Amino acid sequence: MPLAVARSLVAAVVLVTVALEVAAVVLNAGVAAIGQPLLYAVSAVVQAVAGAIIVWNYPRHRIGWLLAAFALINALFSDAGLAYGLRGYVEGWPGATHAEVVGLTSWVVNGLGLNLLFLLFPDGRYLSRGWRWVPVVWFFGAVLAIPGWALNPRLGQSLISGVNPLATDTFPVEPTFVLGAALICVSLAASVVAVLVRFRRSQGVERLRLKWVMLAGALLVLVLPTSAALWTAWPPIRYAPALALPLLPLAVCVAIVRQHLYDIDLVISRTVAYGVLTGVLIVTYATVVLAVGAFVSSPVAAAAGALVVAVAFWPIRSRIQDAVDRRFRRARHESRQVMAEFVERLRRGDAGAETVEDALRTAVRDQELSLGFRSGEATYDVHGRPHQMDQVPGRRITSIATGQQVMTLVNHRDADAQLVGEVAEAGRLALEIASLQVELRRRLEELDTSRSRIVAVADEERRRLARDLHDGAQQRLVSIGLDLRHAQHALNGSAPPEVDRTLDGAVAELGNAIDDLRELAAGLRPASLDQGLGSALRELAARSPIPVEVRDVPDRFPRELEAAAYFIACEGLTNAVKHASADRVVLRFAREQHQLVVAISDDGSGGADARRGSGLLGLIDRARAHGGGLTIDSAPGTGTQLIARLPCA
Amino acid sequence: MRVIVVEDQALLRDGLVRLFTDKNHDVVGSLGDTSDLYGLVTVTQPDLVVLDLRMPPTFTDEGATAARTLKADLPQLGILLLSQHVDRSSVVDLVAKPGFGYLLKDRVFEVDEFINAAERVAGGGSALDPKVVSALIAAQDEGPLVRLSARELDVLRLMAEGLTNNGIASRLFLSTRTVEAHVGNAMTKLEITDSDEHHRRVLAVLSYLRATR
Repeated sequence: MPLAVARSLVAAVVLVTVALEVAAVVLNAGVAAIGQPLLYAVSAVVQAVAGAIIVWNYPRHRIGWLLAAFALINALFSDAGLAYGLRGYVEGWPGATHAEVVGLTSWVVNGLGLNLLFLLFPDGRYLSRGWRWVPVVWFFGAVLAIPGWALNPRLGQSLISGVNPLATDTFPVEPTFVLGAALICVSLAASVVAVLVRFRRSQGVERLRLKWVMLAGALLVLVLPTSAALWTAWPPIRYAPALALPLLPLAVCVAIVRQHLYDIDLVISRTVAYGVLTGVLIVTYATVVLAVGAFVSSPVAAAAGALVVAVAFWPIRSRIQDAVDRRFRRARHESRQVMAEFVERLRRGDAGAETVEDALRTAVRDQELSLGFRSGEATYDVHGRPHQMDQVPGRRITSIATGQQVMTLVNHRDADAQLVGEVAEAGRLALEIASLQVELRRRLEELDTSRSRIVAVADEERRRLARDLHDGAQQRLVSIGLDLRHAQHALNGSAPPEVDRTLDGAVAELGNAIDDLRELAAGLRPASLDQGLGSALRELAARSPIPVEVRDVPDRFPRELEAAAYFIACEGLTNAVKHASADRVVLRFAREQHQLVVAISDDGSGGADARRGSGLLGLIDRARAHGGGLTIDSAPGTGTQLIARLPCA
Repeated sequence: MRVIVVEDQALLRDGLVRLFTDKNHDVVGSLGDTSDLYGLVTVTQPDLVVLDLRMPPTFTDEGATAARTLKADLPQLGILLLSQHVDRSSVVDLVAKPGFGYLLKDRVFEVDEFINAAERVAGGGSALDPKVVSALIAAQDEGPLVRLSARELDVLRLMAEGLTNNGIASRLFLSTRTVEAHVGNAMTKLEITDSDEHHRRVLAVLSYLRATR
């Protein structure tokens, strides 16, 4: 059935039900007390609307149609029919008494709705083919019970007229009714068994749904017999069924459409807890009032009872709640316990916040649960690695606000939504610490990246400067020198000797200037570095004022890394010469487990300290900019050994 | 001597052309890069090509690449590479070839020495800048050269610069016989036994090449 048709049809059913119930209330007005018809009208309308909401969402859902259809049947026969009978009797309308009989008999049909609801809830299908016989049994029961009830002369006692117009003695009505009612009872009992069987087998969302209906069913089971028992003794109890009956369709509707709306376990546990609490308090109150009343006047006894109850309320409430939680919400109780213990271990320092994911997995019993921390544009896992969180069927991602910068995301099973929320709340401290750690790690990484970038830019700048010196200034000086030599040649000895000497001197100065520039450029960034670390270092050693031994230069590394190693060696060498008065320096290199190791050893005075002077600090910075580090071993009198470790592929 | 000058900086190129012209050499062509060099060499048949090491398009070692190409086809052609600083690795396979020279640009200030070196290269000799030679020696850490005495190394270095025994003798203030003795010892230590004198000298320079690898 198309969605639009289904919605129109179910809307029509609701409208007709409302119209019938309005009619029933109007007809009842002035004939009987208005309270009960009004409540039953509300009950029927609630059921029709509950069915309509289900159909609105799932147009083919049998439960929705079942609720709506039986609301209509109920409105037509039980409420409107009975009302017509009552009013018609007073006004002398035709068929009034017959309508009254139909109204009083309609419970047989209405009960079938309940029967089917129990059998088909929550998915509109029977548990198995065998269960199809249950409504058939009801049907045969109804075939017997309806004539046995409607044609029974005893029904006259319930009619206003006092006489059943359909009464007959052509067949044994009483045994017929008893047999039919027995069949109906069997069928009803079987449908209740069906719900229980279904509940035992259910899990996940289906279990949640069944819990809703069982809660409403349990309340009905409590209310209906109680109100029947007190029907005549305490007339106000007659409102109870009308108040309790709409609970079932409401529960069905919530269970199907919004089963996650409330935590059903919480609702059940609170209901049970407060029920028990009420009972305990009433008994306590009564006991105190009776006991004290034996000695003093009743107002004092009542006050004493109230006092005792008031004082006992909170302790008793928490005791009962705890006991009920342990019984009805055992899994949650334990889950929260696991998380609380983890937070306690975290406080004591026995657990790291990064293990919060494992703790959550244990608490929720879901090994696929994963945590993500959203910071900036990306999501990271507990270890700060980029982490992709995908939405998959049966699972969902819930976000939990932790701190101002980071959003914590939990990927969990659909059915665990409530549980995860509670456990996360219990482990809030751990989650916040973990998220802060992730954020901190990310910031540090950003810092490292930007430091590397700055060093790379500086190195590139040196490179550019060195090249500009070579290709610009030096070339110009050479061409000026050539011009001077040409001028000298053109003069061809005709100039005074001092002019010739001046020109010679100028050319020699140009040569010195070019040498200076070459040295400067080499200091900025030796061009030989383009040919590899080895040749740059040997050139460095050749220029050094003290003997430098270069050992074991490994093969080529990325350009930035070679530059870093070179400048570290260079600065280390300068330190050794300038500050340590060393006689000899050894530069050693090694490739060790994805690291380029640079060791600079001298035989100087030692006592180097990074805190004094910027040279060593610059070295440390340079090593860190490449994700590495630098250690300084320099006891006074033992020379200095600098070891830089630079990560490489 | 017929000369081609290849240099990307126009002022410097003009200066070099003038330098050779002033010394009565015939500059048969000048270029700003190496793209048309091979054709020009084929047409003009020069004795010497003077090449800047770094030229467009990449400014790394275009000169050395061109030198290698030319040497492969025309081994007799003299090639004189010029550069602003010593670039050892670009030329390390070229230094031992006859008719090859590698000088820093500011050597042009000593006009006569420069022209001599150019003529030596055009005649099949070699001319290596002292700085190039020191770079070659600094670059080697072990190998046959460690067996040489300091004096023998000096002699070998000057030999690599392209000097004759007489030239070496006057530079080191030694007698020619002493130089010859040093050369002989160096050859023995380098295990160079070839009888041809020119070839022996080439092989000695080749030792630098091996030692730098």
